[in-house]
Amino acid sequence: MRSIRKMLTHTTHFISDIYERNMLYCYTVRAQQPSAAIVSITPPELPEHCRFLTARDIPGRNRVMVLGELVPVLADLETHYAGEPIGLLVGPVLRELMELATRVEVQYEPLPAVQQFHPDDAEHLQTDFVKTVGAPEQAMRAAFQVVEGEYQTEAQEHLYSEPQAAFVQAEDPDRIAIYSASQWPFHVREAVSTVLKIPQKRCVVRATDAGVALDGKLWYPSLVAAHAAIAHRATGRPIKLVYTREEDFLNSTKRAPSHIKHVTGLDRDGNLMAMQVTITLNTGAYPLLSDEMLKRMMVAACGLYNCRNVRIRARAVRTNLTPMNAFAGFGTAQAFFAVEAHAARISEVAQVPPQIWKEFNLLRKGQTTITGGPAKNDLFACGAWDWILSQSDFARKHAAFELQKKRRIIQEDLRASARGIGVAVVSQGSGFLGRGEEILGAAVAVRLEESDRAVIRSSAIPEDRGIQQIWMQTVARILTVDEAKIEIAPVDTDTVPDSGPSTLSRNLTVITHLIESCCNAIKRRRFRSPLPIEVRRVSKLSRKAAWHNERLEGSPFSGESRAAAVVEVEGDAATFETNIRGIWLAVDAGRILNPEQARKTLEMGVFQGLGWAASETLSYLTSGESWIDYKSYHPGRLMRHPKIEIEFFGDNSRAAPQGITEIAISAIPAAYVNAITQATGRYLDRIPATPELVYEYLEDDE
Amino acid sequence: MTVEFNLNGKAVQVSAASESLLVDLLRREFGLSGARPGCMRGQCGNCAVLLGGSLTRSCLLPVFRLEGCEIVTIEGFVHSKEFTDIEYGFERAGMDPCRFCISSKILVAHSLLLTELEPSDLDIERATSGVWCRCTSYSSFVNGIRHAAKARKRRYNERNF
Repeated sequence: MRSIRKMLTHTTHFISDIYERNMLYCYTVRAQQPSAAIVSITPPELPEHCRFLTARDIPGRNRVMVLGELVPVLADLETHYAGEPIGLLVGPVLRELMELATRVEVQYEPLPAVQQFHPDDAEHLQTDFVKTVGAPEQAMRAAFQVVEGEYQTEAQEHLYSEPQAAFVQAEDPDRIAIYSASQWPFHVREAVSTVLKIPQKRCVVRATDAGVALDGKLWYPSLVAAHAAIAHRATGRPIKLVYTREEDFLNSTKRAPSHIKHVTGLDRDGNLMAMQVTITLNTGAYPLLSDEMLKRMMVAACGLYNCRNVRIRARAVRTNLTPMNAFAGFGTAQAFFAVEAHAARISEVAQVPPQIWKEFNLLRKGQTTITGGPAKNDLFACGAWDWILSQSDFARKHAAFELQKKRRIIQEDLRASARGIGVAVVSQGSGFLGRGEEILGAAVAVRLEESDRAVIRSSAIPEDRGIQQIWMQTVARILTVDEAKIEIAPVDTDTVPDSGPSTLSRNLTVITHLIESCCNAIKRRRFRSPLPIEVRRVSKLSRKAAWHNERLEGSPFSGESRAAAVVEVEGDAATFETNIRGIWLAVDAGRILNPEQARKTLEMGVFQGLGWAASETLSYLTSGESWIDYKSYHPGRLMRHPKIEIEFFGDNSRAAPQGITEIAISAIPAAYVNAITQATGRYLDRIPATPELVYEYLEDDE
Repeated sequence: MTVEFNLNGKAVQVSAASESLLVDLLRREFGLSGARPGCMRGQCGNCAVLLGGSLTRSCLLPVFRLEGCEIVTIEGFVHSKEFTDIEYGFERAGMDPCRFCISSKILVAHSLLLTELEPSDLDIERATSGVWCRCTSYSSFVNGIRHAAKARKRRYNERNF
């Protein structure tokens, strides 16, 4: 545990803390039209000390590439969303730049714009993947009954600590230093060198504190750094670019909204015969990361259920909204919300209690998943399932609440205060799908010096101190050195190897594994070679993780964690607010390296999941309003809650550690909504389930 | 305009545009970066300072309001005995906040304990709802405040006897 006092005595952690005497500010001028051809951009008469820059001032290529997809640095011919950067104002006084930006005149020729998301919008379809297993159509025709449901999730703001920012200054005569709070520092370097048309060795990126970024700082900081670098190239002065919170809310990336349709065929006993799933993802103006997201969603589309006849279609629809893509989990949370809400509906239609239905239909260890790989573990064998049912008293409460619900239906009094309980079962695969990890080629180096000092060098950005502690504990354990003598080198692209993006729990799985591997190699050489000994390791695809990325066949991840969540709620008849009475989480994540930190990570995940499921709405995205009512986006609105009971299973020293950062975010929303569904007697199929939505659903059916 | 006020126990004088905000002034003129510019609308709570001992959002405080005031930022508060209570409480609860919100969380906890040494759940909820951040678990924040309250009571009792 780092001392609180020590945290307060160091002053420069964030880009907003950096001040240089001769620095200039950069402010982004944005398009007002969501879809239009740009005819002309005319700046106002500028004072001598200010500059206005457009795409024509970009010395290199006007684009940032993100895993094969492009986004323009400054739009020059067309705009694709209101708020898209079209120019940069540079000067010594930020307020003056903000005022000048309001007077930049842009002439547009409006083009048709897609502001509302329609899942059947074939015209704007960007990507379309299909996977078929068995004979789903035939099985569906033979089914005793068919259950259908459509599930929607909305955008979510990452709400990281410091808004998007970058600071760029000259380091040597022909080198530039970029300070960025990116989750992927080497991507920032690549983007800036491409935009400025200079070799990568002439750029150095130094990481500032990114905090808990939840993938909001995965690629967007590269765009912001590119803007600051263009301004630096044009003026030769240090450049500071920091978004205001409002600018960040309005224009930065969000969690991609989704529409998922499930059609499920059941046999006479209510067991699964066939599943047809159609996933549509709203990627906003640029479908960045959509390939990885859609494939992960397809892997998660049928949940952890055993079904031999499956057809999954996954599509990305392009709209004229701000780019929307990854948020902790790359879309798996959306897929699990849909399938688990649908599972609750199936069990109700089949008139089987949800816990019994799940016991009959969940995959068991050794059975085959929809991708053809073997299920490596299940929640039954490790005891997680029994624990969560007994701790939450699920069976008794569910039966009692069902009786209460039926009585209320008979009495036509669904608005009365009532309780409900919901369960959801999810998994999380760490790292990128299959060969993605090998392509990224994450590298880590560990150096053992004299006096038993050790240094870990990696460009991985830890989301919290817990992961740094795990890395240091790993080195201390293998090399038997004092933890106080272990240092994690600051992230500087000149001195640390490229460890790839810090996302999808890679820091815990890929990076920790590489650190272990480095330490084991040092241990073998320790008394045979003189100190210092430095070992560098690069990640390779495990033979076990045989995966066909086009056919979606094999084992997508080298390991997965699994979790079951139960949420109990009570609805307030007067306000339609939902009070949470209990939250239980059983997690099988292999070896738990730091139980206290793992518990905190899960608890934070519970809050993020609840925020998304219950309260965080971004209505301004589609309404066209530029004023944000932050009060409607209060991430702490659900703070009053009972103790969250968390238990770990499958924890033994031989098991590989698995990621858990996203697992609660995937599990909690479905469990929460299923509980509200039972409490209200109305199928809730959308999140966030705000009091207004609950009222609307009750009104509709009345 | 020129204003004189007391900053972290020292009399200071500064010239700035009258509509300048305290959060900017602290960072630009005094190099005090503990108060973080967040939403700049008084809602996110990351720019908290103590004005005459009361919790205030420095993004809402224009320079012309500062004349004769007593301002304490986290950089000044860290040297007080009250800080040690909060430090003890947060560390005892294993609270691990990020550097962006830490100063505001400390000042919020202090401000609550000034009025209530045995805060109820509702008191804590009301007080803490003013700071936005996804960084730390809520229960460790609550436990941190409870431990800090105990430490402060213990210190008061030792002083009285």
